[in-house]
Amino acid sequence: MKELEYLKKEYLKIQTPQYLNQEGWHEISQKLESQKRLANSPLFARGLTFAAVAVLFLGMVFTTLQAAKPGSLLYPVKIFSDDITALISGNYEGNIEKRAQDVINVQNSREDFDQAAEEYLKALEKSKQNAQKPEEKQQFKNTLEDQEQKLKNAQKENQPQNEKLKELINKTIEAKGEIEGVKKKMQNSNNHENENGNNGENGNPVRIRD
Amino acid sequence: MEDLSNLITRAQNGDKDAFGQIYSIFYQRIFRFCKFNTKQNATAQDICQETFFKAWKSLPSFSQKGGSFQAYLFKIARNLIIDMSRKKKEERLPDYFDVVSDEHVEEKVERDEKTAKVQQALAQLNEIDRQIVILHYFEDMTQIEVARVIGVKEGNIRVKTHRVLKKLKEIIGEE
Repeated sequence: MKELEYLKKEYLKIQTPQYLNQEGWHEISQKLESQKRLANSPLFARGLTFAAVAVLFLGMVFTTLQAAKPGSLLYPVKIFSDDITALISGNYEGNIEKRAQDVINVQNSREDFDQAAEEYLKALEKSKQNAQKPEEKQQFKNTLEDQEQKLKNAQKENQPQNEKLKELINKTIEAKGEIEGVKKKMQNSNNHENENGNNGENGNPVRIRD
Repeated sequence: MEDLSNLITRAQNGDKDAFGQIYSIFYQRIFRFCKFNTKQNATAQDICQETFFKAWKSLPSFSQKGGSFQAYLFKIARNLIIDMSRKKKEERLPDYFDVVSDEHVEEKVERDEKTAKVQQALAQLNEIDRQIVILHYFEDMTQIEVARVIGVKEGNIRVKTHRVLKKLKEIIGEE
């Protein structure tokens, strides 16, 4: 094919720029050298080691914190770390579950139990304040129901802290009631509006589904 | 100059000077290939340099028994051109075909009519077919080497090359 031969001649005429002819290899050589230097650099090696140690250290701190029990020095740090996690993830119910578990775990020590109970109530309050949307309220209610059951089971098995546990259960029921109350109040108000002629598009009263 | 095979072995053992000699053997061809595909000097230069940098990094895994070194280099260059072309599509910069039609009028007049015709025909082929023409007819690579560069089975490349040539003739004939 003659036309291809013409184009091939043009292709072969393509000239390399002066820069490549003079500096091309030098540029690559320097790049390879600097990469080698970086890999062999004590600073780079130290940086890598430091990063590895830091990750290891943080991992150990996290594991130690998670194992901290009420009454220990690290327990307030654990609470703080859980609060930060909840703030970032927006999941406050997780803290209620953790604190309820703490309460159950330390029933045999009065002082530790008091600290755990106090933290449980705080977590309850924070979570209640953050449950604004209907789905969050539902989630909050479900969590409270689970904790109520857990605390009731613990109450059956534990006589010394019976009264305190009863108080926590009541607070849990109270918080649940508040959420339910808000929900019912909203439903009643909607029903009331419908009865007063605030109808749907087809003229029929709007039914509220539970 | 030393035998290419020895240079490769030395370079694989970390000898940078040997790789420097390999560079001087191939850089003009790699640049030419990049320039023809990208139509831009600066981009072709960058891709050419990056090709050798990547080639050095993956040199330990290159096997001389597994294929020719020029196929290995052109494959790296082709992949980089494809990557660049994808990025350019996102940035809406002119691609191969646009460049052909965007050339200065004066240059178009000056250029041999037949060359322009075949170049435009080439631009109408898909990327793989275009590379078959460039590598096999312009770079004089064997069909096996072309198959390695474009990632086609060696058994199919003969038929494919024949079809591409036929297609090219048809396009040129239509115009």
